[in-house]
Amino acid sequence: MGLFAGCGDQHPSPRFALNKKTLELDKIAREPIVKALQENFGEPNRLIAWQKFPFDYGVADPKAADASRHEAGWRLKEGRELYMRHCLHCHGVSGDGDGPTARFLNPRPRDYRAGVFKFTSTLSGLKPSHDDLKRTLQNGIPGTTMPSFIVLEKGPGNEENLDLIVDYVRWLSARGELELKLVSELAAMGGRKSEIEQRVAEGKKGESSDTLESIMADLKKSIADGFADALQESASDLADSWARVEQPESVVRPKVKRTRPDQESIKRGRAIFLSKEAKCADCHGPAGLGNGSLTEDFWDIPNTNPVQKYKRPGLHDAWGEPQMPRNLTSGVYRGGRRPVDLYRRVFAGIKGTQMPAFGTVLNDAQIWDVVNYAMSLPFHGEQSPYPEEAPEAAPAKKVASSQH
Amino acid sequence: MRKAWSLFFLAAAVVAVAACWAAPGMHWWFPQKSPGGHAVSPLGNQIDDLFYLILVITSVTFIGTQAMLAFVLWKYEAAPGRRSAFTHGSHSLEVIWSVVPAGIMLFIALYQMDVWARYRIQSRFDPYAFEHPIAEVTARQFEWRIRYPAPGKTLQAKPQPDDLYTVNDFHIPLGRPVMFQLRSDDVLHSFFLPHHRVKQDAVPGMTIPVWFESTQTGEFELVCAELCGWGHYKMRGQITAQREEEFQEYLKKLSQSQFDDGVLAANAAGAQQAPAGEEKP
Amino acid sequence: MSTLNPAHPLGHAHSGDDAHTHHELSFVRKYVFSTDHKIIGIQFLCTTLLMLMVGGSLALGVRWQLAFPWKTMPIIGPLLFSSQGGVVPPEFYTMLFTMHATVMIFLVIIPILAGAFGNFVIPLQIGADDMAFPTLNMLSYWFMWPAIGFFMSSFFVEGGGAAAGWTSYPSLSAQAAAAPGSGAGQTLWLMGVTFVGVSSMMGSVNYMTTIINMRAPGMTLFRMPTTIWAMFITAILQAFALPVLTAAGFMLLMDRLVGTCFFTPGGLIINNAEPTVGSGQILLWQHLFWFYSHPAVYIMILPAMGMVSDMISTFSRKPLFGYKPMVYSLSAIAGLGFIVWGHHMFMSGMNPYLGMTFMLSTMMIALPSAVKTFNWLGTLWGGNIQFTVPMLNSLGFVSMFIVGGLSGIFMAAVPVDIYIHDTYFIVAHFHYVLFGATMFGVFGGIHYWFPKMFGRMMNESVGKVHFVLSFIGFNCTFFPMHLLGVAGMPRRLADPYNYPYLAHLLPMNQFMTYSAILMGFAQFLLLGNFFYSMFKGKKVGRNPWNANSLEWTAPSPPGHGNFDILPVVYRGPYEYASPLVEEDFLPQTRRLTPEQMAAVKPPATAH
Repeated sequence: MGLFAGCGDQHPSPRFALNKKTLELDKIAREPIVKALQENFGEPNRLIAWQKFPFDYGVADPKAADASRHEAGWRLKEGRELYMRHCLHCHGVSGDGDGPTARFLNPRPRDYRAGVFKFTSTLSGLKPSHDDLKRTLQNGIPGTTMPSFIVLEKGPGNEENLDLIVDYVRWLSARGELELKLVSELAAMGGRKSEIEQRVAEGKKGESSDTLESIMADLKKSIADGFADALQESASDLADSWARVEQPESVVRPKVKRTRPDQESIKRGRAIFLSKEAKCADCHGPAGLGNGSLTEDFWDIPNTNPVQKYKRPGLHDAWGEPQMPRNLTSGVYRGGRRPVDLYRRVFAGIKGTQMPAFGTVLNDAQIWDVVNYAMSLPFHGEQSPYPEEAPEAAPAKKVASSQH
Repeated sequence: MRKAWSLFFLAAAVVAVAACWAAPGMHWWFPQKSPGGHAVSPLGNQIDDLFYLILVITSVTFIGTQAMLAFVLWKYEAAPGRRSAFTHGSHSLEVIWSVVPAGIMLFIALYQMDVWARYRIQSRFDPYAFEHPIAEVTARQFEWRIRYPAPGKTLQAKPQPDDLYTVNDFHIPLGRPVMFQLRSDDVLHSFFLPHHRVKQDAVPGMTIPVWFESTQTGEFELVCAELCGWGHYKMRGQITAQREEEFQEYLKKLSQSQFDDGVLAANAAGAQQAPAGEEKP
Repeated sequence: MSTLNPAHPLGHAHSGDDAHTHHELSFVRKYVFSTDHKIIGIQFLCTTLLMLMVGGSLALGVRWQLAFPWKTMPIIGPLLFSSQGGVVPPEFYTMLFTMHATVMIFLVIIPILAGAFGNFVIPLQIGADDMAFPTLNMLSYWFMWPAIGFFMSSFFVEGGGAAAGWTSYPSLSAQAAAAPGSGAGQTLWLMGVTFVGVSSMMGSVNYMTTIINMRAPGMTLFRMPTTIWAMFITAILQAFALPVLTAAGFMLLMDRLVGTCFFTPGGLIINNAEPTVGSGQILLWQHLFWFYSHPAVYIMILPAMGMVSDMISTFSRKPLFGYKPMVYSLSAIAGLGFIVWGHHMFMSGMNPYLGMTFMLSTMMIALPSAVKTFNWLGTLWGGNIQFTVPMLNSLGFVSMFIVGGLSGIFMAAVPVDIYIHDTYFIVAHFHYVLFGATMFGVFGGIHYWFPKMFGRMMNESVGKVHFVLSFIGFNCTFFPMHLLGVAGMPRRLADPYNYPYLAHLLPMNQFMTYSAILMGFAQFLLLGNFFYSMFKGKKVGRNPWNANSLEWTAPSPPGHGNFDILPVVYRGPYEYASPLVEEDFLPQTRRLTPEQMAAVKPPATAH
């Protein structure tokens, strides 16, 4: 565990805000979480590099020209600096997607604390790889307010900038997700304020023998017995999930190359798109305009008891935000426009959204047909180029004639 | 003691002139990519020349008027028993200081017309560049999206299936005028290349052809110069000027990576590298 | 009994207009909803000085972010953004500079010149007992307050105040989704501007009527002081230009509230809101806005030019050099001011041939400014210069106006403007004109007419210290902006150092911020001096400066109705050092006997 001080020139110093769910816990149950986060992650100006996670925090480099790199943990610290300058306003100090600018943006900036990222190259349900996040930073997310940061890595000395940001974001995400995991552990131990109040009320009515004191004593005992283990276990799980995505087998890779995007393929793709098995049209609409019938239903809010419905019709994502199925005719591809990107969207779905993974339903050839169909939609059925057919470089003659 | 006021006003002018004199040495002058901070485009150099022409004229005027001010404050401060000259003006002086500045102003205005015409009037554009725009640059909050035609094809007003896309990273060939179409998706932006002395607002609803020529290879900043919202300062892009062959090679690579189906590239790269390497565009 | 300072004996003197003086007015009618032009002028002055401090604080917020980007902003940071470590978010920065410009232009400079000095000086200098329409005059002041209310309340609505720049270019200002400040804040901004416009319009009508109809006997047009000429021309400018802004503002308001589309083309998807419909024109707003706002730039300087001409002549103890050329150049500036608006739009994508014509007209408008400068120097030449506080500020005006005028030539030249457009060079230029020139003119005017307003003098030493600190602070803040502009630093960037080619300019920006803080605190000297002297200053008589124009023949402060003796005008206002009399000044009202006239043969004059 490496501990190091940050720059102290800010007053007041920025703080990692607690998750709303943590605040639903009773003070006694909240305390160990706050302590665990303080001890293992610190505060923005006092970062702690927890070696449990598979992130590169930066090894001490005594020979580096930059004196700040002589200490271990410099990568995390530099990542923090970059994050605070370029990302903070939208994604917030703690990566909760609730910076001061966030509420004016549509869609809202990502809340990293759920540990879910939409556009990845990895299998369904997995975290994004380091390179997935870096790609998002490089290209931005077209059609949203996430801009491209590709120029941040240009110029001497800046090559690693995006990697630094990615690692800081992954660290923030791990911190936020660990907090959530601990909250559910403590909720299971009976630490929720609402639950305690209910039990006290029941005790008073004589329905049970609980009193506030007995409940608290139980809770304290459970925490003393189980929290340390729960912390270690949750952290290990998380560390594993982040490590796993860097393994080759976690990446979605087509087994056969893309089918030639001729009219036949497009037609087959359209058939699949409209079929009852794939049901693409239910959300994306029969013409791919993103206006399928399911976008007009009122949906249940997950994990509510009794079941509540969203106030607005249409699909909602894992963050509870309204979510529009993509209009496939617009030619804007948030997760990247390469055929392989579209393949992955179909194969593994889009994490945290209602776009399901079709990898087990459709075979590779079928997915390619769907991809070919989707890629032809912005051009009214005109086929997209095939890599082998991509035209050669411009003829040299024309170029020569342009010299004046 | 009262002479101090003359010196006070004089000092302000002297410091101002000294600051301008020292500025190039302190890097408070034109952005430097090339030695001496010259523009890296032919038109940019002409703009600089016009700037220096005006600088000389205004400096002479500035020094002259400020020196005059200091002089009269020095010479004509109130003294007991003295009386001002009683005059209401001089017709010939008025004529002189109306006609001479008018001549200078007219000269400046007429002298500048040609550079402006070359920059903006379409009939003066390089014909090849005008007919073969190298890209369409679309500004949006808060990035520059660039659409190249496929290598060997001409840019169409509407997107084509084989168009190539990049964001914030604009490559151009060196040594010939290049023209691109400038658009905006949402609000006003302004395409500003400080090193090339190029600036043009991107206006929603308009497609504006802009041309420039880079005389130096390398990477140059692309700045948004028109307030476009809260993230205005974030809208940084980069121009990379390359030799013609390198530029064509770049387009080819871009084409390959954009139509990557995850199999071909993996095969090409072989099993030698970690799979993560394949992801890079 | 309608005087500002009942203790002053001259205030009790019988005034010219009996109808107003023979009944007691309640405190509210006398000092709050007053129809007396002097009270209204002083009300304008106090309000605008207050707003000057508000606008200045906003400017310091801007400067803080430029000098210490993403560092805890004092006071505001811990108060509003403590969870971010007191760092202001970028949209807050865009709001700061937008509201700084708005407050300074609409609530300080325009009302302090036309509202405060126009009101106070016009009737006194032309020998009238009040404005032509006293009630309208009162309304003109009170219509400022809804505007102030709209602007100030916009800070507290969701998204904060307007943040699309004071120019409010659509579609940023037209679409609520485009920026946080483009929500309710922008709507309030437009309403505020409308009220300011109404206020100015009432003033403008009043000034024109008063100057045309209510001049004292003998006060021919070419015997009016240049202040009056400047106010007159300013009023004409406002009357012709303002309706255009008001109409444009209403159109934009309709675009925002009712869904018309004057200024927004169709198909724009902004922040994933519904695509816009219609086929409006973005550039239409720019044309309409600048058709008002370019003349407005002259509205913001012409009155100061007039005032400074008066002060320079008075304190040089010498007739104004070239009075008629001065008046003609004022008119020329006003006339040409209507055909140069396009120079704000050289890079906007309008037809490039328009760029050429606007360059020509813009170059030509530099000419009358040059003529004026030479005439000021000509006035000083051979004078008997008294370095009083108003004179020092006037000299500051001339010195700074030279810089602002010369830097204007750079941006008038279209090719050069390609590079410097929207950089700090522009910011330097208009601050030299609007602050360096106008505000020093205003500071001079405050010191000059203060004895007439309150019958007391402002403290001379404090005034000099204030001038020196302001002058140094001003130049150290704004002169380096020229260099920033040449270095290619664009305006309105919350973090210019995000661009590597600007990173090395941080120390210079810090120096400028320290200078701005010095300049800001120097203004407390002015305020302190102003309010202290109002009650404790040295008492003076009617004509403390030995000046010629009519206001100095009225009591200090003048009673309701202004003049105890109806003034009759015999000559122009600048007869200093006249050989006809012993003293070095010859008031406009003083009647000379034929013997006195014959005693000295007046020298032949050019006019």
